[in-house]
Amino acid sequence: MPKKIARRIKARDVWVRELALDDPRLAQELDYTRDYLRVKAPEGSLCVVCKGSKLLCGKPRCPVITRLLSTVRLWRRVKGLNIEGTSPPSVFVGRFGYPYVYAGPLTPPTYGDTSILDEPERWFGRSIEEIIDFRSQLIRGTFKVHVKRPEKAGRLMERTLELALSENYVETEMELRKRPRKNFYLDGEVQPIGPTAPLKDVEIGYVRWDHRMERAYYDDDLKAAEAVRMIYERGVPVTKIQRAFSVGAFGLKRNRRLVPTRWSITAVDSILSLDLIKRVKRCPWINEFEVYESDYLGNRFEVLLVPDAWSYEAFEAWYPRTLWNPDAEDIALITDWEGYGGRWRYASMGGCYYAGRLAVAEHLAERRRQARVFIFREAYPDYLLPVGVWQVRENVRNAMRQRPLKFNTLEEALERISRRLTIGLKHWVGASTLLRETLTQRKMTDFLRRKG
Amino acid sequence: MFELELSKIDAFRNLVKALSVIVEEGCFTLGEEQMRLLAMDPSHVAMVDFELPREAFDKYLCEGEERLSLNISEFLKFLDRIQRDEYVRIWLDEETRKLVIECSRGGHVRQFMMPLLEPSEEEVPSPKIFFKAHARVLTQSLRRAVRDAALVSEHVKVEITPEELKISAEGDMGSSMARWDKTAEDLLELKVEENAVATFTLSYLQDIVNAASVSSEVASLELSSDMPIKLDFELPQGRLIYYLAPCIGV
Repeated sequence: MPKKIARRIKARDVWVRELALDDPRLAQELDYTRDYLRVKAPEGSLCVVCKGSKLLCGKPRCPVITRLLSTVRLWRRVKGLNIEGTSPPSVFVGRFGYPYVYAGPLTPPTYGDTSILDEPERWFGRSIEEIIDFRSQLIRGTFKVHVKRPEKAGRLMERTLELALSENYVETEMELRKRPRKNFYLDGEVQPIGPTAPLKDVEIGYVRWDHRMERAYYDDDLKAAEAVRMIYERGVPVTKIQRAFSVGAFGLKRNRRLVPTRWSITAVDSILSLDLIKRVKRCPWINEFEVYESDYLGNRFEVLLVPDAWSYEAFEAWYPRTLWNPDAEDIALITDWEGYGGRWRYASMGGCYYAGRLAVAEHLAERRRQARVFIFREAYPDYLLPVGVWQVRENVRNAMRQRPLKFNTLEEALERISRRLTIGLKHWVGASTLLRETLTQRKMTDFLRRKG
Repeated sequence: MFELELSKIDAFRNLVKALSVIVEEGCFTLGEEQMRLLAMDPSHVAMVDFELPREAFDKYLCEGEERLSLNISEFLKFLDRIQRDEYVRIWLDEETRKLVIECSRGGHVRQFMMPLLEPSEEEVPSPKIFFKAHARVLTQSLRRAVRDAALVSEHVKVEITPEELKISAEGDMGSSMARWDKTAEDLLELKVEENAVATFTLSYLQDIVNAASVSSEVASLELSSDMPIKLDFELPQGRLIYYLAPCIGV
């Protein structure tokens, strides 16, 4: 949901200047001048009171300052209306106003191999500052387009599409209609994005299309879901598929449309994992209880595999931002699950559910085993800013690359997990459906063996 | 070589539907005298033991023993296409190893071909459990009790004592209880060696009772404390028995 902007703080009285007075190094870095920056804050924002000095949000560093540094550094490099640089490649399709959405290419104002800027598959292990920096460097040009009638946007759309299908980074020149607005949102929960401005024209250098995606693009009898599966089989990274999916490069001719980036990410995660799960269901069960762990960007993941038919439950626990008390009841615990037959309604947890599902399904399909899967996630205060669903996908993928801890009983495995997590096991069990079922439901096989 | 004919699909289709609530991929054993299916659900919580003798069909022909592995819900999709007044033939095409389903009325014929699955090696043994309590009830009244329980909980408790059969559930939304005194009209029989009580997951029980109640009027429940329940749905011909493992420590 878009946050309602209730209060505009004029640059002249903003706390940034106070910050600059407090910390000379920061001041130098910011090179703050009055008309350079317009700061906005949502209603009731703690940040207005805190001014980065008291860490009222409970996080170990101020997320706003972290973001501000990247942003201001970039703004200083943007002069005039022309942005020239190498696009990683990157495109973005907004979701507000659907079916009329704002789409367009993104590029940093620098040349060279910028591919890492939009390739979350390579981000695992980087610090949160670096990731915010990657995100904030990209300047986004936008044009308005109806999702079903992209051809009306003419060459802007054509170029955007070419970028999305490109195999490599592409030299890009964007001509903007006006200077990117220098609004800065004073809010610790906003995802970092670079400056945005309406696009007048865009020129791109030589583009070589990824031949695997090109084939799917020219095949307009191939359904989008099948195209996605085919391209994935041939080794195209998930985020690349998502990019092409968002510009409507796949599907039956009459069904093609733009898909807002955020939706396309989850759509692709969902399509791919469903396909893998179908294969997994034909595989034998694992033999032991297995635990996989990963810890990155203030997010701890514990993945538990149980010898059983495929089913999946994901947990997310968010700490209250004020008191850091594991036994308090106001920790936000969210769960979603599916049985063997899958689910029909969109998970309340959102995209993370599907990103995690893809990561574990990849693992099971690869080793040709079936299991019941639990993903426990605790997000700690040092997860400064939401960085995107890729974090879940890569974090769980990393967990699944580790050697598993193996246990003979569910109790032993849960004992290990609860030692690693700060929230007590009873809270997880209380919130769950599948985990509770696993703890109580006996199997017919228990009784067959006993009686021979 | 396997072939069967049916002048009415309804009864057979209802039985396949009753299997489909438990079994995803089932391996039918086709003998000369009967067809049989013994299978568990994907997570091995429930089991179904199904048998239909050749007399249940208008024509049934099987030489030697055939094993036929099918995706039951796909099979059901084809059966659902058949009209009530159509004549049905189902046979195994030896060359293509596909199951052919043909329905006809007058001179109009429709035909479906369905691939077989690789039979799984998994051999399902027939459970041998000694039950301490036994109750025979009308399926419809059992079904009502189970649906009542579904209003309030995900689990249901089944109790048999020398005096009564009781099905109850408790949840945040309240509780429900259904009781048949030993004199109750709907309770046809009650034999108890020892009191028995066990708890089961409602979603399974509800699926089973709903699907089987279409084909059967009387069900026998057999129970021992914290052991699987046996639900024997009496058919005019053949056998439809379910086993469901209990929940412990709910």
